[in-house]
Amino acid sequence: MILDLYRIAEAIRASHPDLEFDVKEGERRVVFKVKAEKLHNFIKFLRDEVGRDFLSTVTAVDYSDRMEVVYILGSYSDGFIFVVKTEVDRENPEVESVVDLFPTANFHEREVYDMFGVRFRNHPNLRRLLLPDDFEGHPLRKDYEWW
Amino acid sequence: MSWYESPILQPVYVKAMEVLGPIIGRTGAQLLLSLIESILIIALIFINVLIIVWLERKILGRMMNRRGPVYAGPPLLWGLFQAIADFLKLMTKEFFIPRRADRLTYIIGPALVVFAGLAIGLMVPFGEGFVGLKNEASLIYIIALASLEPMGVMLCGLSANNKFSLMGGMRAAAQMISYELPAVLVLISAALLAGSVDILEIAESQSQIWYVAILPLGALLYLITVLAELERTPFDIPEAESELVAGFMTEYGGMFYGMLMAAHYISVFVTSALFVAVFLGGYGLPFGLNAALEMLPPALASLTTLLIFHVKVYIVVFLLIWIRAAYFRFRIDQLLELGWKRLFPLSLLNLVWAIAALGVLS
Amino acid sequence: MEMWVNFGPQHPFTHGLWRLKVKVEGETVVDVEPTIGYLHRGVEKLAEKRSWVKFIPYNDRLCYVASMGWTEGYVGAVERLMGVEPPERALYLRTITSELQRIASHFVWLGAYSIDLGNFTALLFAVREREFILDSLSRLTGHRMTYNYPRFGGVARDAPNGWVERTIRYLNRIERKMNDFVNLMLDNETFLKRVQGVGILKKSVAKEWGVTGPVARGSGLKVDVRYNDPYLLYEEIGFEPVVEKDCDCFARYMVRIREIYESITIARELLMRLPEGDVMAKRVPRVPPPGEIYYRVEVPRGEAGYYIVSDGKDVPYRVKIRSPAYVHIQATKAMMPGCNVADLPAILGSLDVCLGDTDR
Repeated sequence: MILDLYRIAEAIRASHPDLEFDVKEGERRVVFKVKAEKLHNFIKFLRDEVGRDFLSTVTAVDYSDRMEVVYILGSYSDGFIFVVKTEVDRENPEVESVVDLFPTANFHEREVYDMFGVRFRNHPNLRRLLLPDDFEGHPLRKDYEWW
Repeated sequence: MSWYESPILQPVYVKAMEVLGPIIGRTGAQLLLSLIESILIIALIFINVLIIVWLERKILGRMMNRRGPVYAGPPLLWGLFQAIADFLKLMTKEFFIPRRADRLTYIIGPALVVFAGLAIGLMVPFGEGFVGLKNEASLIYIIALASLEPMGVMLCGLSANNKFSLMGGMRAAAQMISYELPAVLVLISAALLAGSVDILEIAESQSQIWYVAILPLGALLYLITVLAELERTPFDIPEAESELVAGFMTEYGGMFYGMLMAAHYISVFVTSALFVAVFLGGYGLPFGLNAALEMLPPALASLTTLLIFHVKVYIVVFLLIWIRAAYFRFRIDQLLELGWKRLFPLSLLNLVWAIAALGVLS
Repeated sequence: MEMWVNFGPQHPFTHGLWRLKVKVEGETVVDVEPTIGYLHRGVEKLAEKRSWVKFIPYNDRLCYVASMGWTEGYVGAVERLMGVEPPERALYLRTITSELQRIASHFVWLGAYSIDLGNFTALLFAVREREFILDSLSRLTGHRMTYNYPRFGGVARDAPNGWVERTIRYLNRIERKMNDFVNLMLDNETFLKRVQGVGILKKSVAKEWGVTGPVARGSGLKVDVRYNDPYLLYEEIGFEPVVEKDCDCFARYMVRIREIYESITIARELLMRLPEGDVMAKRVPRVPPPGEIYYRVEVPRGEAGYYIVSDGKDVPYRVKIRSPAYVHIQATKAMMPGCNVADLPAILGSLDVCLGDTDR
């Protein structure tokens, strides 16, 4: 199985030469860092060319100085996990939605919007999901005052 | 024309007329006595309802590997008074009508349902002489009243101004229309064999052989339509809990809910009684064994017939409970398909069969 | 006559606290819109205020009918971050308890599904057999439902005397008795009529909506974390997932039924081979080093994922919990339009949603 992952990695290196990532021995997870404007195309590429046909989840992490949106892609035929990270502006976070590629991203992206305030362009229904509509603030951001 | 013809109550009637006649006049005494009689019939039905509720909870419990109600009630019949306790609880609950409901129909609905059940009970022969109202067209009367009950259910559904109630009411209407027809055809085939539309005569004409032996298909069809008309599993679609909350009963609480539940069990009893009367020989024994009863004193024989009738009714009730424990709920389209594509042609076949049987027997 | 009908938040068919807005035309469903969030407790935020160990019990409470799998997910993820390897006996015990939990959870689903379809009988039989599993687990862990059993580098308690034999006896009994109520459903025309050909989720659609677990396996996808991305002992025992090809509610039903039998086999086999030894690793750090991990396990409902970021402090920096039921609730949008109102409970029941982990 590891051999397979190397083969996949080579295919990605060939088409995205400026992308930096490394495949560790015995690891089933690969982490990619892509720019926000390339994200949609890259996920489309992963889905169509590399067989990442399973979007496990979308989430975000607030590092106080920067914010990362994380896409976790798996596959229905093997066990490799591709973690695609993209850095967004913390004051005005915005990325392209992937709902057109994976309908399942709908709820995941709404939750990220709900919790972090990340706006997804072209999202069909970007409203709060878990919290009430009149809730103020985005509670999973590190600067949220929660009492 | 009443229970007072039975050997047990006749002396009471005669005595009462002697005492009351001079005081309030003959008509007044008759009116008073028939009032008492109707109370007796209702009391009998309600005692049976009590027992059926208890049996259902106990038997269903045992079939499901649990115990059912255990506390309220006398020893050996644990839980028998649970229904009374529930009734008292429902009585003392708040009486309310939803603000947007149609007040008049909201109240009329449950009343109509209860009335329909009790009114059928008036015609059912419970035992030798225990017939509330003898009439030569009693079967027609019963068929007419049987279709009154779903009307009440529909009124309940429409008046409450709730979408679940509305859907429940609509489903009840669809179910009523598609199952009334096979039921009537099957009843007609039995009437054909007996040569009468008097339920009493149909029952008495089975003194040699029960119609369940001559019309096994008809009996089966009638049992299925009974299940559908009672809205019991597998046809409990109008009150399908998992999708329609409680169907037409969703907006009812307190005593109204109690009335609807009571109406359900009244119908269970009355329709089982009808099944017994039409297919299981009513209150009599088969193979001419009724002659044996005549050797008993008249009062005792009358009581025995009452007992025989109830034993048969409870066999049918047990069957209904068993089916409830074993089957899943049909979907409304499957129900309509079953009604129109299977039961209706089969009930026509049953009618042909009955005519053929009539030819052979005569 | 088109109208919107609200199923939920308090409705017997929702299996929890959520809402399904259904647009119906007569009895036909035109559109559905799921709404969740009524059970949101902010577990992910709580994680950032609790120490690593203190957060373990919260995972038990994510899904109250399958707590063992969720705790396993969190503990396994943190173990990977710490680089701790539990001793073999602990691995065995964790695999066994995961499988026992799967049996118990599937029994709850089986009972709930039979109620959805209008029969009360199978519920009580299923719950009776589940009680044996809970009894076995409570003898092992001291709790009936929220076990708090896996720990970083092992398990909380070793198996008491006679636990292994007793559990094997229970499993044999369950395997024997299960036929009673499974056949009540399988030999039942009224049941088959309600589930066969209902709630079709085609393979390609299932992929798009990202479904996992029995729902995906019912759509013919050979996907199971225990098989694709094995953890604990699943690689050693050569685990093979159960796959059904029909894509309907009946296929999902059969997947779960066959999984119960499979889990019984796995648990019994492992119990017979249970090695002696410690149940806790010798050295377990209190705090994992800085880093991040996405670790996933197969809970009874599908793939549970933990994305954990550590900054080397005593509390997690970020814990993201990926819930399978969350995705399945979305997938109702793909399965329900066009069906009958009476099919809604049949379809929803076959998804086996659990709102505790959906809303977190």
